[in-house]
Amino acid sequence: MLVVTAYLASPLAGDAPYLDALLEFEMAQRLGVASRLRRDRPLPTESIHIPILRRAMGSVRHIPCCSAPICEQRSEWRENFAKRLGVEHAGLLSDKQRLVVATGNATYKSYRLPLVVRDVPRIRWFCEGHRRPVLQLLRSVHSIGHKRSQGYGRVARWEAEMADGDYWWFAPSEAGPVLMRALPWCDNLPSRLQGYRRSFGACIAPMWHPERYMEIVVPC
Amino acid sequence: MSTRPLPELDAEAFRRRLAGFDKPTDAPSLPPEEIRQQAIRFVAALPLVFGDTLDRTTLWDRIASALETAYAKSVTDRDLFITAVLEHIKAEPTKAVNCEPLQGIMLAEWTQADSEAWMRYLATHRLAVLVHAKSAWEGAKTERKTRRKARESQQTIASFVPPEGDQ
Amino acid sequence: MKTYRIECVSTAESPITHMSGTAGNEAIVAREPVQTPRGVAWVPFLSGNALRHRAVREPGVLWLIEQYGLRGKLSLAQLNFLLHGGNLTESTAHENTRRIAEMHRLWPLLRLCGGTLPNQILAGSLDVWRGILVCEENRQHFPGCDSLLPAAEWLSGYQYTRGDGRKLGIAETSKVFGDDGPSNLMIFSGQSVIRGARFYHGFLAKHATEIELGALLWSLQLWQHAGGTIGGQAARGHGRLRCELLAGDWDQAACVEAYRDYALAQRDEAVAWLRDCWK
Repeated sequence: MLVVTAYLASPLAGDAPYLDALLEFEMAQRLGVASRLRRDRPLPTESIHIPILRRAMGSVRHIPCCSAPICEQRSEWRENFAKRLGVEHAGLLSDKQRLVVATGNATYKSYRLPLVVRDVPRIRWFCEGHRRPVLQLLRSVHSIGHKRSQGYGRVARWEAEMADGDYWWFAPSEAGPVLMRALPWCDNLPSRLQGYRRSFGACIAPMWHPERYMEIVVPC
Repeated sequence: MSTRPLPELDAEAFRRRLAGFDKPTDAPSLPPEEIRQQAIRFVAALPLVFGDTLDRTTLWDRIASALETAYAKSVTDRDLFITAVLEHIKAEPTKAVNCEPLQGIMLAEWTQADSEAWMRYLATHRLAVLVHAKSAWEGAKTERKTRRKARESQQTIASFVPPEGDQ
Repeated sequence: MKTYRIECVSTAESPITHMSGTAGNEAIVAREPVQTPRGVAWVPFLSGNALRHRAVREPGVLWLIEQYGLRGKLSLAQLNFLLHGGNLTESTAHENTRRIAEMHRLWPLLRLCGGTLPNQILAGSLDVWRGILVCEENRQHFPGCDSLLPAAEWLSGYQYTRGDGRKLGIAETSKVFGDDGPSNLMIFSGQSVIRGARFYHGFLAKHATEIELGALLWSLQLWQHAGGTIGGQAARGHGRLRCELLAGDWDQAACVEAYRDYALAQRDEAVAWLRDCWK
């Protein structure tokens, strides 16, 4: 089993991504197909190869053997990011454009939006994969989560180490197997499954594409 | 035969332990109820040192903003926090030094975790603490008034009781 | 093309008042929780959003507007796009790849910062890091530093007054305030990070050309030339930062000169592209 760790140098905004989704996106960019992945278009039939093992469950094939992200969270708080129209630059406008502008609504609305951020020094994923190709793909991932352009989720370094066990889908506990990643809701799920709730969404990347939506169980 | 509830699995904590992220945290040694009572005691003592230059009708508004401002300035240093509160309500140094309830809190031997938990409670339960503190303050005022009346009535009775030997 | 990592240390030359809001009647500096051996400490920082606008986008775009002769000729939508990134306002989104490619060629600065046309999002390639205060609580980011002061040593306060207009004797006070009206004096105060405080921050220009690196460096130079301000109260002298770059594998002067020459050479086509977007 490969244990991949991301060491973050800045707070994380939003949720951490699934490692397999991250690797698929990096690989899609290298293959030149990333721009073709859009919500309003059908997904390519062939899946993007990543250096992580895939298996089937129920009727769903090619589910990566990779757990959901496990965050070492220390604090959670709220920050804000703001935008306003710089009316101090009104002199740059042409004469006809020097109008009364509504800044409380519509196009030029000012905003100060909240963003929940977390102090997460480390994020870990358990997966079944090849160490060197995984690290090579991750070398170009400099930040994760939301609002990366504003400095959130900056990754200081990636590490990957081999370890015993296979915790990528289920991890054994005294109470029963604990769910470790989103999986299809089906009869093949182990009995006495712990730490899950039903949902409707994706368990394979791209997680945001409507074609991937199905009845699933997610870790909770 | 006695039974006890079955332990419940916290799946999130289990996953963090699996990932090696579990480490002992520096938890407060004071129980939560004690932290709550200390918070109420502290706020209930502030009217005793409320500055004379301030309008007394703004007592509780001023105390509320004092707590908010002080927590913004310090979340780890208890002395700095209390100083910021006292400065905000314009407490006179003499009154602050001689105020026994305040002394009790400032000189209490708390761990760093206790102090932070206490300050955090004041910040997160500010309005509730104010309500309880006001009730405690009113209760203390009533008690002082009752004791003063009892003292005065005893003095009055004493003034009517002729000294021994005069009867 | 390569990914450039530009690291900076900026020193406060006047109080920094990058605020997060008010607490009571006092303006509070923006802080973030940092885990230390003694517990969680709340330490001032500079947001990446603020640095992105003040240090990169605004100075760079204002220079381009002057060089391209666009002063007094922009529409509101164009101004909003250039200086603030624009807004997606049309319901039917498009992916005009030619338009994107032309923008990358003609506006290197906008390839870094990105933006939004009414019907299209133009992703940027620049990540702007947060500004981390150089202090004891952030020691994990500065392992080579022996002595660092705690964050509390870098904090102070300010207090200003807005004068009572009646005392100037200009206004007809009986009409404005009444003879016995309350004083119009307003006292306002807040926290600030004091002079001498240093912030570590940086920029990551992903898959960038030397021209785009030059655009970024030129923006930083322009920002510094205009005072290097960040945060509020700049009108009162607050917020001045002196920025120093840590050494990198580029020739700063050569990159900047190459960018300036390139930008001036693209002037006509760049202006035509801008006009074409809002036909």
